[in-house]
Amino acid sequence: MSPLQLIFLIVSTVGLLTALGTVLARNLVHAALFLVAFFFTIACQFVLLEAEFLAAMQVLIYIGAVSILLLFGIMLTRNVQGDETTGGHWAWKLPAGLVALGVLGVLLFGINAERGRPGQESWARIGSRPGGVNPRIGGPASHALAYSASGQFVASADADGRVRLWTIAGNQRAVLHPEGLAPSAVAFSPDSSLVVSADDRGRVRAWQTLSNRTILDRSGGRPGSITSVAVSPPQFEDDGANLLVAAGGRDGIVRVWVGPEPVELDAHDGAVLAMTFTPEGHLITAGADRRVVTWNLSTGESTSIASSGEGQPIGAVALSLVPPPEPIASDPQGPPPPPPPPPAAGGAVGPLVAVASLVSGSPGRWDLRVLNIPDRAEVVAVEGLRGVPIAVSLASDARRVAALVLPAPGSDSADAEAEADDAEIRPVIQVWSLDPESNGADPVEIALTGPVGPFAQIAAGPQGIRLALAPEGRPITFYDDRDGAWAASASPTTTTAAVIADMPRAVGLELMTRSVVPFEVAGLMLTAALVGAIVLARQERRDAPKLSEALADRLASGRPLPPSGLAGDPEPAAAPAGPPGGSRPPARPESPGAATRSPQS
Amino acid sequence: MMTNSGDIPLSWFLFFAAAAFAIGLFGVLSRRNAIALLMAIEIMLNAANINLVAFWRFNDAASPEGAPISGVMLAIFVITIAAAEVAVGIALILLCYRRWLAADVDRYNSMSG
Repeated sequence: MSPLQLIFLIVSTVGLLTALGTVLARNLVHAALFLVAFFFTIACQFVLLEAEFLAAMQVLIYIGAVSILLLFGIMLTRNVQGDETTGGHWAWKLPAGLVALGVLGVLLFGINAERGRPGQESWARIGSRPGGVNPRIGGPASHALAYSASGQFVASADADGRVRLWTIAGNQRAVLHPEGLAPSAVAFSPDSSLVVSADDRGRVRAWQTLSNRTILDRSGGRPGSITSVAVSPPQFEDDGANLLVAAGGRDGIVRVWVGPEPVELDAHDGAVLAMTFTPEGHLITAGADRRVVTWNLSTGESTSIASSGEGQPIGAVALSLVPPPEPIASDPQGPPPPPPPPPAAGGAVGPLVAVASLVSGSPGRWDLRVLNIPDRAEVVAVEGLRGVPIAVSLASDARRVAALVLPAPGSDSADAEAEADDAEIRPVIQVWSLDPESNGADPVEIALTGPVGPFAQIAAGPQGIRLALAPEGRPITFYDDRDGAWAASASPTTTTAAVIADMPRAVGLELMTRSVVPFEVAGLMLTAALVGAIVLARQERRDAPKLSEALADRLASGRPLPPSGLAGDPEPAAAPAGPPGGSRPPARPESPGAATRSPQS
Repeated sequence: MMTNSGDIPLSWFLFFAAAAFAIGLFGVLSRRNAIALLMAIEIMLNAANINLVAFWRFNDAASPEGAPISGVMLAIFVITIAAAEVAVGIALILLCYRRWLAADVDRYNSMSG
């Protein structure tokens, strides 16, 4: 039994008990208080159903307004405490109970016997909601994806304002709350120890990858549409003060936080498409103006190289450090880091940039170039590719480069027939190996099954590890090279990593971050306090000798009462006597039944 | 009924709602105080709300971009109407109380033949 299920059972039990208390309590005030408790448990159920807004409405409207109204009604329609006219007679309760049980039986039978329409899953058998334990796991579109250099994690900045860390098996490892605006860019530090996010209001945040602890939260950057972000490796343990964080926007300005206040670099004439810090603390930015600039932040110097030729607009660009920095000490909870890759990529020694540039004048054609930034040497140059590149990713071990390509409509005559009956443009991921021996070989093509949208993102991991794809508006999916299968995120898998990652997903972070546990605990405590107050109040009344005598008296007199139907009013309509001198209406209702019994209590 | 995912199955919510609805129905049938009737009706409406939200949440089409928050909207309608109903109901009960000096629905029988 999972914690969620346990919480549900507790809440449901309390809810049903309080509902029973509402309909069975003879004292109307007690019934109203039970009803408040019941409303609380319904609010708890709404939280469990992830309708938090509705839960707030429930508390505001039902508990705040309706129950107060009911209490006013109770106070205004009876003159004394201890009104005992509310309970029906047993002659009424028995058929009422039978009818209710019958309806319950019909409902339960109907729920159980539901088979579903042909070809459709019976909703009575739905064991989990779409999206797994948490509906928003990868549910919203991801603005950005990043693969950690260690090859262990993928980070996504999602449209719901969260930053999620994924294991490469596709399991969610952590949900980070940047608070405020949804971050539009996310990145790992070169040593994978930090995750950083940036939003369009000029706020950056950094977390430790292993502990999920926020170590840096800076704001004050120039607002603007942020397209990339980078963070330097921490120089000292647990100290965010000396971190360098940079965020680049569509305005071409790079905001660099050296201290609390950002400084601005007028870096590019177009959007800053990619950036990374080198282990030496240099910042490399790649812009839409076909330049790749290396900034020495301590001296302010910069060197610039051209990333593509004149008249070749940049489609997508990616940066990667070579050689990859040493990954952080291995995560005790995570999968083992992949073995260090052999020296790669045609003897390249510096950071690499992969550029997918459109060929001006021939739509549907693009070139791919991978450059070694320090000496401007081309590691890979492929020209005249078909389609429109919308995302490109360099693996962190710099051994392969992946591009997400939308075929240009009508670009291929051979596909004309296929396009005629299938108007949907099928995207494809092309993966080139950067190994020297395979240079020039055709790319591996991975066909995608569904549409991805023009703002989809991909992130390529080291060789043999997965590709992550974030299609627009759909969950992240992970592609495994080895078995050639796509796996939706958060799918139960059998790898050890998945088992380990399941624990924080299901128990800790998931519940804590979604504030289910605080809400449920608060709701249950309030409910318990209410019920406890009712029980205590009853106890006190029972202790009063006069009342208990009156109760016994009434029981004794009530037992032989015949079930005379409703017309005869078998119960005393008027309440027993209240406090003397109370605000009693001058004309008290006199019922025929009350006259025959002692109204004194 | 137990699933591997650890999630709460849809049917659990339905069972809870069915039980709460039956309890509310029992209250409506067995109670005679008008305000107690209102309370029992509230229980039934809340049970229906649980069903609305549960079906919405467990529907495949309920992707954040794909479908509107229809279940929640329905539930908000129900809540709003329930609040209005209680307000009008209480006002009516108070009027009836002044007229018959009783909150017992069995006493409101002036239209019976």
